[in-house]
Amino acid sequence: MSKKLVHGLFDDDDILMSGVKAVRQKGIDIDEVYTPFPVHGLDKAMGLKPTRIASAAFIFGIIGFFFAIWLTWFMMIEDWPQNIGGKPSFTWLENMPSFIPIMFEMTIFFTAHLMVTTYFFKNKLYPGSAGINPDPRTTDDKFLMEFFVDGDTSNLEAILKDSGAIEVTVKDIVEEEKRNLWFKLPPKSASVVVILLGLGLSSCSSDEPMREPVSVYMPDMYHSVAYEPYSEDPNGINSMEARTPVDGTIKRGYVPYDIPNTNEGYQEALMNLKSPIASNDENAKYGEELYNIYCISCHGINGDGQGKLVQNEKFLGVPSYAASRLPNISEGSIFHVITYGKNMMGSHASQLTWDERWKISQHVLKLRSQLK
Amino acid sequence: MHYESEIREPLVLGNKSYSDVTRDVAAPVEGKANKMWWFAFTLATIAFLWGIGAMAITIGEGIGSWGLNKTVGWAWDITNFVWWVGIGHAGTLISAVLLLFRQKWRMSINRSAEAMTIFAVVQAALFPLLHMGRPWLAYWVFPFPNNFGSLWVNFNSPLLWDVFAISTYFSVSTVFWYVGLIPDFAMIRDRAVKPFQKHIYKIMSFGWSGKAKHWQRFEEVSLVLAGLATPLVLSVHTIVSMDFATSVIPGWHTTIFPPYFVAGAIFSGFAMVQTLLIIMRKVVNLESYITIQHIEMMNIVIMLTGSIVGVAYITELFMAWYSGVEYEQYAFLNRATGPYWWAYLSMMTFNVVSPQLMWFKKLRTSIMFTFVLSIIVNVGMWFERFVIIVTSLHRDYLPSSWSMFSPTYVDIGIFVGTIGFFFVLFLLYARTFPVIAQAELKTILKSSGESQKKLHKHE
Ligand code: HEC
Repeated sequence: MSKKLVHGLFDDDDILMSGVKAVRQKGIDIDEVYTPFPVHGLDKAMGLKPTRIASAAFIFGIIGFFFAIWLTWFMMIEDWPQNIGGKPSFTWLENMPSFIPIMFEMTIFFTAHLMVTTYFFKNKLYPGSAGINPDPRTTDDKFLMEFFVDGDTSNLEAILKDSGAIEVTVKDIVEEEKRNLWFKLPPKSASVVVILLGLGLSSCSSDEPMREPVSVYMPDMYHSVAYEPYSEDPNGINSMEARTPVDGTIKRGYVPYDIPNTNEGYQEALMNLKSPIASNDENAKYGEELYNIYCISCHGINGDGQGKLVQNEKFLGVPSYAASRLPNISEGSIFHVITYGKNMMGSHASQLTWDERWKISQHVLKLRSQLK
Repeated sequence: MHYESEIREPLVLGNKSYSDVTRDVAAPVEGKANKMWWFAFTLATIAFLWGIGAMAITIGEGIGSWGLNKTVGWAWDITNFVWWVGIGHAGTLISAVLLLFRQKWRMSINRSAEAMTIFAVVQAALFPLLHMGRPWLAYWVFPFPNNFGSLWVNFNSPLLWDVFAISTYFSVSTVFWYVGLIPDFAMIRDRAVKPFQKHIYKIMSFGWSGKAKHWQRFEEVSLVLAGLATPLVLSVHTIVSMDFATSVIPGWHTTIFPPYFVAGAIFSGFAMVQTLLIIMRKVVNLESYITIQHIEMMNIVIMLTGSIVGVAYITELFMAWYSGVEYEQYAFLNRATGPYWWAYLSMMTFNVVSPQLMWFKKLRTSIMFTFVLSIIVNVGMWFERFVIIVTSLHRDYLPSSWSMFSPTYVDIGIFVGTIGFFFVLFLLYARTFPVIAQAELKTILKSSGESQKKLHKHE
């Protein structure tokens, strides 16, 4: 027996609604209704299940939220922790207030985009999709009910006419209609896409790894025409662009430190330099707080040389304060090292004031005695 | 079907049927452009080309071609950035917030307002991009793996929050807009007679067919997107304001900034919608859809947000005095009476005084007045950003480094260029896109259309 395609065309949404109800009352299932705009209540009248896309969106939002947490945690805390502006933010929770905007934006980003992608996917909407409405008038002002019927259609035709359809058409379906074909790119454009993709990919391969950028755009932006601040300048004093301040100039709040940055200087500090500040709980506590901001990422919280950067192998050669290669460090030598740095360890003099450095030294000694 | 009270003014004038709506919305796309359009388009293109020239100079020569100096290191670029982003806000507000509040009057204007949003954000994004100096390295702002020799991006920085906020805002607004456009593209596709046109709109409409299930999902998706876009739009200008508020410059370092910036953004955005729609309704004959009532509603929003902005200005002054901080006090004194007093005065008159005229019904229902005022408001809002940025910077803690800012022709060129670019995009949009969300509008035709209302009265 041949299958038949029945179309009932309506020209008003209210009439369509009563038509849908009439048809459903007779126990006939409607295969599809095409409308130019969302007709409220139509889905219920047709017996469609409510859509679950909003629940999906909720799940996407949660994914986005946790992704943002992971992203900020991994980049700021785990992979390469940094001391930014001397703030205590070496755990995610401490740093979290800064991440709220990111978590919020990522939640929205994931929800919106994944939901719309799902929407396109479920509706099979994509550029070039072939599944369009059978009658072009249904995007203008007409409404169309569609049925696939086995056998006799006269009953259905009568119901449709009675409920106000302006046109009822019946067609034999010779072949199963293939409207919702998945990928129907014409062969020509498909091959163009393949060739372009191939060309694009081939440009990625190369026998030799590229070391230098192929070309430098606007070299002026890299190499200034003017003298760079700290560059050579034949007209300047000492042939330097930077000028030195008057001898003996010191900046406000700065305490000069006379011991030079040499091996002898180190020995001198080690043996003779004594802390000018009181050794008490308050100072040690303050030193600990600073230590946990400025030193922790290399030296670790208990000074064993196992900071995050060392564990992640970003930075090597950090000794434990109790290591045998540091047999007898003193408050003075620690102050000296924080001030000048040593080998791979940089100077912290610009970040920490004179008395802050002394307070940290106190804490380092404490850690050293605890490690022993 | 529910019917609306007769007391409410109809939102669609004239005895429009469903197919009249179709025809009216498709007309600008199907017809030929008139002289007015070509004139505006040529003008916009010239401005745009000037802008491209100025941008080329900026990239080729460097930021030195701008009027910045050591003291005022941020000036027109950030002013324009904030100005454009702010303008964008109205579009999202109209389509998202008014959808959540079930305000039907949004339907004739949301499509164009959203288009405005997207085009404005494009302009805004150009400024940070250009200020980078090497825009081809712009991708460094995204969190890429640490292979480039530098570290990860810094998530503590408000500038990075801005990257996330603006890119989320731009992409989500675009998607929101496009989801709504699909059924309307399908309408144009089904009417198109020329094969080329038909083909293009077939691609653009993604094969939309208007099935019941699709509409059901469509409505759900629209609702959820509106629910997302509403906090999003508030967050974007909040984060933009944090670019300033998290710094320690007197005049910037205030907690009032987020709400104050958001109100200002809505204020200027609605003004821009007015400017655009008053022209558009005339040029493409949509007077029955974008009615005096729509204009009046938007004027009320402008009046409200303008008043909020006014309160914010006064609060700022009060807080400067009340804080007892000398520097803060000087910053505001200098704003009002310093060398940039004229910018401050324009900001105050244009943004605080002028919208108060909207209390008069006669004025807020006058098209000419609205048009002039909408432009005044946008000039005022530009000055607001200029005042906040330049006057806070130009006199810092060290009087020896005090200086003034004057833009070079490159600064001006880029700004004018973005205005040109914006109008090029908008004019092209007005000729090729369905400028009214016709499918949505058809759902309220029965409850809010003039003919139906009349019909119902006599029942
Ligand atoms: C970037 C990683 C890094 C940071 C941050 C860092 N250090 Fe070090 N530190 C090192 C390395 C590496 C050495 C080993 C230097 C050497 O002897 O080659 C070292 C050595 C030391 C030593 C032993 C020096 C000696 O006498 O031989 C002390 C004490 C010390 N650091 C204290 C500190 C303190 C206190 C801080 C915080 C203010 C700090 N470090 C921050 C990497 C770091």
